[in-house]
Amino acid sequence: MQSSGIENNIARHRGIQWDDKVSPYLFILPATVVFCLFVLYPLIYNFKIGFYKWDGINPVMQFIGFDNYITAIKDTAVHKALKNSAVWFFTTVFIQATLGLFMAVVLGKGIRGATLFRSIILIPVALAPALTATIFRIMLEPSFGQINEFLRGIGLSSLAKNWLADPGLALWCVIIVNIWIWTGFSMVMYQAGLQAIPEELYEAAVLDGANPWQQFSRLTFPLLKGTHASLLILGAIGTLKTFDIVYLMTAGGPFHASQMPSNYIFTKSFLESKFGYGSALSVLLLLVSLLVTVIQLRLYKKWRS
Amino acid sequence: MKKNLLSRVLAYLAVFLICLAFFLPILFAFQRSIQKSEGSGWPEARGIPVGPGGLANYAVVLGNEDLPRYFRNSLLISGGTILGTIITVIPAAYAFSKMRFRGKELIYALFMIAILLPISSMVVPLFALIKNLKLINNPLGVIGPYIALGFPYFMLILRNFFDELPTELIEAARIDGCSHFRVLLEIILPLSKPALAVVVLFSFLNSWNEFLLAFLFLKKDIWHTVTLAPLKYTSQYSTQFNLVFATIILLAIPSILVFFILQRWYVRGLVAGAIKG
Repeated sequence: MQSSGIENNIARHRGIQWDDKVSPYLFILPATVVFCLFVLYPLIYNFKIGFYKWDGINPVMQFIGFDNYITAIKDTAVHKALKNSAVWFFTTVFIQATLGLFMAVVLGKGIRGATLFRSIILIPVALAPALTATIFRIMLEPSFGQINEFLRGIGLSSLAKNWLADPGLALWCVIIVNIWIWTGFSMVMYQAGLQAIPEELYEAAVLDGANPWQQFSRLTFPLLKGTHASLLILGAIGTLKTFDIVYLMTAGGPFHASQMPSNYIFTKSFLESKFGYGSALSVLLLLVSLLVTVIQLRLYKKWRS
Repeated sequence: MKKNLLSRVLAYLAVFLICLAFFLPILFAFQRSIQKSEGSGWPEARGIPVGPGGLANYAVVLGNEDLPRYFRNSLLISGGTILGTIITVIPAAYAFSKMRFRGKELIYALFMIAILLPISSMVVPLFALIKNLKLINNPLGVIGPYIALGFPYFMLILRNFFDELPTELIEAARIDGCSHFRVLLEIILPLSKPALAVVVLFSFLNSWNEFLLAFLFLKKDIWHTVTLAPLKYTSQYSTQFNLVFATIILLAIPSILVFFILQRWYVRGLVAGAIKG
């Protein structure tokens, strides 16, 4: 009895050892398979296709070295897309953060109807951007769209424009829709950030005679810098990612006036069947995303310390 | 005191105006969705349905035989994505949080790269891959990429959550001869409901609302999802924007409903991701 108990223990111990050694790899196996197949492989394959001329159908790809990259650097639509990205990034992040912070602070004070107001701002977050884009595209339609109908109704016919076909307005329309979608997200992020600030700090500030504005500018705002930084990073990645609303509202037009990186890659690859060029652009977009993230993470660390 | 009251009134007014501006598009869409079709003579003659006005417009749209299919496809794809994500992410997050093995942090860092990847920068090779796997017009062709692109973020959330669970709990069970698999299933999972709710909600929203991959990989009508439906309806109903809007509002209801039911998990998920992210 005694010895079999020891043997059992040894066997069990071996079982545990085996479990300790092998289980970790079994546990990460599904994730690794999915990652290699749908992330790593496409990532590497991108680099390869970027050196070829390929229409996506023909089994033969023509090797052209760095030609796609040289074309990309000279492509005026690429320049336009990058310029638009900068405009998009600064305006959306600034406005979304300002509105989101304002709403979070005021609604956090427990005013009447706060839940309702918060819900209204959050509806667009839950709505599929593809649906949102369709709603806005129709509303901005020049002859039947509600926006122009409304403007004409209040006697401002001169302001009724062909919104999405006007090179000076198209980008701004899409930007406003982006703000409409993502302000709720900023608000929730700030709401979470505000909850993390200890109440005692405000009590101390009040004792020191700080008025509400001073409490906000000297206490709340600086203490939220982690949230500001998160929103900056997410805003930058979001700008480079944005596709649905651009494609469905303006398709990047007119004449690339509202062109954005993701939409341009899609257009070149799938509408013009230039898969090689599309891949080269994708590699460049990846590099830009990586660069932006590294820069921002550095800032983030600097701010936090 | 007076100044205080004034600033309060102003703040309240500003909140009210901002909310009004945000609500106006939805109001516009609803108002248009219950209008009558104008010039209803010709569309009917061409076989295009006509909106009789009022909520009856919704009856017309609900009579469209395609509508249930869009919901079914989206449900299937979201369900598959959620299931696949859970199977992928839970054991991995547990391994990264509670187990020791070679190359752990390196592999983890590699996985995290996927967080910053714009889908658009992967579409060309993904398209080639899905085509070679013969998964065009197959829900698995989008479910796979959805899992892959979503799981690093969820792994981050879950790992942070598991890190907070006491290791002694696991060690005690291990000494009693519990395998890691049973520890995960019987001890960790029941404690992780909040984190799991976050994963379920976010992977639902991501997959339900995704457009680009669905648009590229689900070519056939029979596999079209909720986000692809407007393309069809805007041509099918021609310029009958009232019916288009009625459809869009119906299409929008499920994700908004799920979002508001699980709203508190949305906040928690963002906090969990943002604090250590």
